[in-house]
Amino acid sequence: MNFHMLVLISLLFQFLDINIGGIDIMPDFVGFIIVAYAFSKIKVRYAALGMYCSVILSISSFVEIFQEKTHTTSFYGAVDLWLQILFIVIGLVDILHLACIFYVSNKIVKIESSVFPTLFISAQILVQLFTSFGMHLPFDVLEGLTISMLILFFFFYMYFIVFLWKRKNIEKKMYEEMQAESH
Amino acid sequence: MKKLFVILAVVGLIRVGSVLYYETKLLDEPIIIANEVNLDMNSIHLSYITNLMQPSEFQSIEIDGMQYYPQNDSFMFYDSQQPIQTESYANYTYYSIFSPTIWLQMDDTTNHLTTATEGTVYFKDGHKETITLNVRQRRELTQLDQIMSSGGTDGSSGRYRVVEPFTLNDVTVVEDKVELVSFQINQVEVPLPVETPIQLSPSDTIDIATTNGMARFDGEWRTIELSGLDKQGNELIIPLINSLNDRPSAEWVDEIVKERGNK
Repeated sequence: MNFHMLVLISLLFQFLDINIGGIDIMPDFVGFIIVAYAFSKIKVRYAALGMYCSVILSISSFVEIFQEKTHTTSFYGAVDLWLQILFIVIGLVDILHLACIFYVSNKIVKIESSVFPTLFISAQILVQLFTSFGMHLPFDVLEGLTISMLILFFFFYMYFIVFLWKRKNIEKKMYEEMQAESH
Repeated sequence: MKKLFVILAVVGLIRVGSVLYYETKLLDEPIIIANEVNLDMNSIHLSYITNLMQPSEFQSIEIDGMQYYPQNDSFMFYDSQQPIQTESYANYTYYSIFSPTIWLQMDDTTNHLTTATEGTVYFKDGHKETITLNVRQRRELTQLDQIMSSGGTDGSSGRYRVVEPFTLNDVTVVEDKVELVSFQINQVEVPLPVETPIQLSPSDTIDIATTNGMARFDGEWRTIELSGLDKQGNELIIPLINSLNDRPSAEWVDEIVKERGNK
């Protein structure tokens, strides 16, 4: 299975929450383990960094499963100061992780870089900044802005899936061509 | 990628700074802003300011050794184990107002509360506070019959018909919760304060209009008191009530937090 296909599968784990008997059968941390595995197979710059980021995100989402049950998170994230700072770091690692995916993807397919990765990463950084300033806005204003942001990100992720799907096909084609050449 | 590392570091610093600033705004303990034992409605109302993030949850109020717990007043949750009073009354940037209501079931209990002066409020986080209770006594309106009443965000008004004659000496707004916009007898504006006592006879009408006022909890009322003498010459106070409909402003909440928060 190629790199892009594994990233696509990991996205399924991140977005689908299928609960059976109160247990999520597609937990996010499995998705991150899959991406870590995808990164481990690639030998390009920042693939190792991407793998470390995936491992960190996998551990954090595994811990989050238990946190949700004890209600220690709220609308803004963690309640205790040290947990809030930890969540900020994890948010930044998430962006770095995404950047590594795009970087490695560009190196694999060897095509001219699309504008989408820059847009997507910028939007993720803006969300971090929005969270910083948004938490000091009146609650009703913040609610309205959050809903708008969620809608915007829905479209971003939809396109991200399309982006990965296209690149998965390119990677597959490249692999087939390489196989044909070697024969 | 190197540029991204720098950007992420700056964003991280901004975010941590923002969280640290938020922390300075948090309350250590909830601030109780209002209470009322309403014997007309058989209810106890409480209102408090708490943090928007992880708010303090009201547990019970102890009055004269008896514990009173809030119920879920929605019939959907009647007799169920649903969470109680999880919804805030109003939300602000850093704070929320919660206004739990305790519905009293038996008259015996409410009779016992008529003489209560103090209560101890317990929160689930272990905080407790003794408060002076505001008990709203039952008062029958024998001199007046309410014909019409309306209340909204633009103010409240009411029309009353005199049933028993009485002499009106004064009109006062209790606790200045609202401003009196109009006071009419038989649809003629009466200048206030009343300079000479006015004799009111059956079938006379009184119209009152007020501005809207701030309700610190769901169901807070404003009271206009008509004072005077009844037909036997005894002193008389007639309370005229109507609902208040404005939620406390963010400025008011900030002022209360500044005065009473984290001492």
